[in-house]
Amino acid sequence: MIHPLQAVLTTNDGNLVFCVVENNILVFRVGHSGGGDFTLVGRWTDDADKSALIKEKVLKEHSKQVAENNAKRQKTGEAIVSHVKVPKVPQPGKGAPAFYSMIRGLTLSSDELLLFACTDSDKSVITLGIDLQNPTDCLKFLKRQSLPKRPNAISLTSEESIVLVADKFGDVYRVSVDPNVPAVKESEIEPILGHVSLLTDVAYATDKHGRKYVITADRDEHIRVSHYPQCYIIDNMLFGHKTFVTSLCLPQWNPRLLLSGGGDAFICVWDWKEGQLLDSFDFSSLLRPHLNSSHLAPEKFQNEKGDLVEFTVAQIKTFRELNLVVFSIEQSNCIFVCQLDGASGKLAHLQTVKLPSHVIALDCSQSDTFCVTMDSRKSEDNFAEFYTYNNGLFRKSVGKTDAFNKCIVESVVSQNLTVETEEGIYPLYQLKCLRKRGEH
Amino acid sequence: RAHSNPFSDHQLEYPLSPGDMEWKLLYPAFYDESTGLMTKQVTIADIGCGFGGLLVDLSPQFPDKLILGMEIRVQVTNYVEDRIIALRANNAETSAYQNISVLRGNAMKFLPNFFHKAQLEKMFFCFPDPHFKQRKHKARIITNTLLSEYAYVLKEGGVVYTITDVEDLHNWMKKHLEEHPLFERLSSQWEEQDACVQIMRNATEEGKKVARKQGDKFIACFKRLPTPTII
Repeated sequence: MIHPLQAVLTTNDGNLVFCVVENNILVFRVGHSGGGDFTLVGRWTDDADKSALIKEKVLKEHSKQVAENNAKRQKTGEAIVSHVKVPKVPQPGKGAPAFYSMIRGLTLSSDELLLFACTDSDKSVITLGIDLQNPTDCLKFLKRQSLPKRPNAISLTSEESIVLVADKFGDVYRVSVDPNVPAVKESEIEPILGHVSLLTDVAYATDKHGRKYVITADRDEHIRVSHYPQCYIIDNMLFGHKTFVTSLCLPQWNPRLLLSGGGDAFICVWDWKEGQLLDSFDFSSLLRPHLNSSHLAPEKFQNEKGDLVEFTVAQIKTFRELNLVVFSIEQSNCIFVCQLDGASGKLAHLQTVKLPSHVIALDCSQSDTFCVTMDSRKSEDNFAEFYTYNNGLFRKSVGKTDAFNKCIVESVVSQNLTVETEEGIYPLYQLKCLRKRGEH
Repeated sequence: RAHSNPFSDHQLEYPLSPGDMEWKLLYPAFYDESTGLMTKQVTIADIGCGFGGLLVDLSPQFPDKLILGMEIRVQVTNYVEDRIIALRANNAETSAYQNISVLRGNAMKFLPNFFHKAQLEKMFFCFPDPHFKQRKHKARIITNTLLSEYAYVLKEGGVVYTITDVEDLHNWMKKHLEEHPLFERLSSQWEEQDACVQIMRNATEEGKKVARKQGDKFIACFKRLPTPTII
C-alpha cells in the first residue's frame, strides 16, 4: 500500500513540489521538456533515534540518583557503593501506543533556497538546503535545532534566518535557522511569549506603520496579537471563536486582514490591528452535503437523536495576488473557494471543488494553482490533484495531476516507502482531537 | 480538594469577550436599570481567592470599587458565594458587601475573556499553589509568559500583590516579576504604608493559618510600568 502524502508545499513557480511521506520529505521537479512530467529529485529522512534520547534521559536520571544516594550515605557515614547496575532503556511493550516521527510545518525561506520543517521525533526545527545542481539529491541536511516541547507551527519573519515556532505547550520560540549559526542548547532557549493552552498556529504580521506583530492561536478559542520583538506587550485579543482555532492566514495582497478557522462552523475575517471582526462566514449549509459518518460526534458526547455532527477547518490558504480564499474541512472530500472583498473583508462562496477522497493537505504557493493531497487508502492512484484558476473558476489540471500521481507511484515504490497494512499509516486526522470535553 | 489542575478541560463558564460578561448578576447594586449598564467596572481582582477572606476585608476599604475573587475549585467558590450572600443579607440596611463577588474560573487561561485591556488597578496573588516539582513550574500562577497577560489587563500604575509562606516560591515570583519589562518592585516603605498589604498579611485564611503556625510570610508588590515605545 502506498502511504498518503501528509503534507505538501510548492515553490512559487510550481517547479518543485515537496511532500511528506511518513518521516520522509520527497522533492519532485517538473520536467524540463515542458511535457509536465515529474521526477523525484530529492529525499530526506528524519532518522533521529528516539531510543538514544530516552537512553540519555535514563542515564542522566540514574547518575543523579546515584549522586543523591551517595551524598545521603556520606552524611550518615555509610560506605559509598561504587558498583551500581546501569539501568536498561525501557522498551515499549505490546499494545503500547505507536510512536510516530511526524514531519509537519513545511516552510520555504523567502528566497526558496532553504526548507524548514518541524519534527516530532526529537522536537526539532530542521534546516535543509535546496541545491538543484546536485544530480543525486537536491536536499541537504544543514541544521537541527531541538526545542523543549513538540513544535506545532512555524512562521517566517522579516528578519533573515529567524523563524517563530509555536509548540504544544503553549510557548513561542524565536529560532535561528541559519546553518552557520550553531544550534542553541535546548535548556538555554527561552520562550518569547506563551499561552496556558496548546498553540495551533502562529503568524507574523506588519501593520501599515511598519510595526511588527506575532499572532498566535490556541485550543481555548483565543487569538492573541503581540508586538514583536517586544512580545511581552500584548496589543489585542481577537474574540469571536467559540471552539478551538486551528488555522490562521494573512492574505499576502492585503495583510490588514486575518482569516481564522477551527472547530466552529464559520471562518472569521478580522481587521487584526483594530481588533475588529469583519465577517463571520458560515459554511455549514455548504458543507452539509459533504458530511459523512466520521463527522458524527463520539458516542459518549452524542445527542439523543444521534445526529450531532462536529467538523474542523483544517487549513485556510490564500494566493499572492488573487483575492480568493480556499479552505478545507478535515475528513471531507471537498474544498471551498471564496472570494474575499479586500475593503469590507466579506467572504462570498464561489465554488466547491469535489475530490475523489478526503482532503489531507493543501498548498497555494503558486499564483493561480492549488495543490491538494488526499487520503489515497481507498483509491490507490489519487494522491494529489492540481487545480488552476481560469475564467473565474478552478479547474483540474488533468495532465499535471496524472503525471504527478504516476510519478508518486513509481518513486514511492522505488524508494521502498510502501506500507504493509493500514496500521503502518501515520495518523492523518488529528485536529478533531483538539475539541474540548470538559469534565467538571 | 486542595488542588485543581489549571491545564485540564474543566466545564467552565466564561464570556466570549469582556463585553459579553453579565456583571449585573454578580453586583446587582451597581446595575442601573434605566440605562441597562453597570455603574462601575471591576478594578480589583483576587486571583485564586480561596475562602474569600481578603475579599471580605477589602470590601469596606474600597466601598466604591468592585472587587472580584476568582477561584478554580467548585466547592470553594460555592462556599465564598454563600458567604457573600449571607454578608449582604446581614448588612442589608447599610448595603455593605455589595461590591465584592466571586466566580469560578481559570484565570491562567481566561483572564482576557473577563477584563478589557488596562481595566484592573490591583491584582492579588495570595498564597498560590507552590507547585514544587520542576516540571510543574508552568502551572505556577506567576510565569514570565503569564505576566504579559497580567500586564495587559492591568492599567499603568496598577499593582500586583504577592504573598506566600514558601520562600522558594517567593523568590520565583520576585525573580520573574523583576525580570519582566512591564513590572517594577515597590519599596518596603511603600509596602509599610499600603493598606492592602496590611489586609493581605492578616486577612486571608491561609495567612491566619501561617500566623498560627508562626510561619514566615513573604510579600512582594510590583507596579505596572508604562508601556514603552513600540520599536
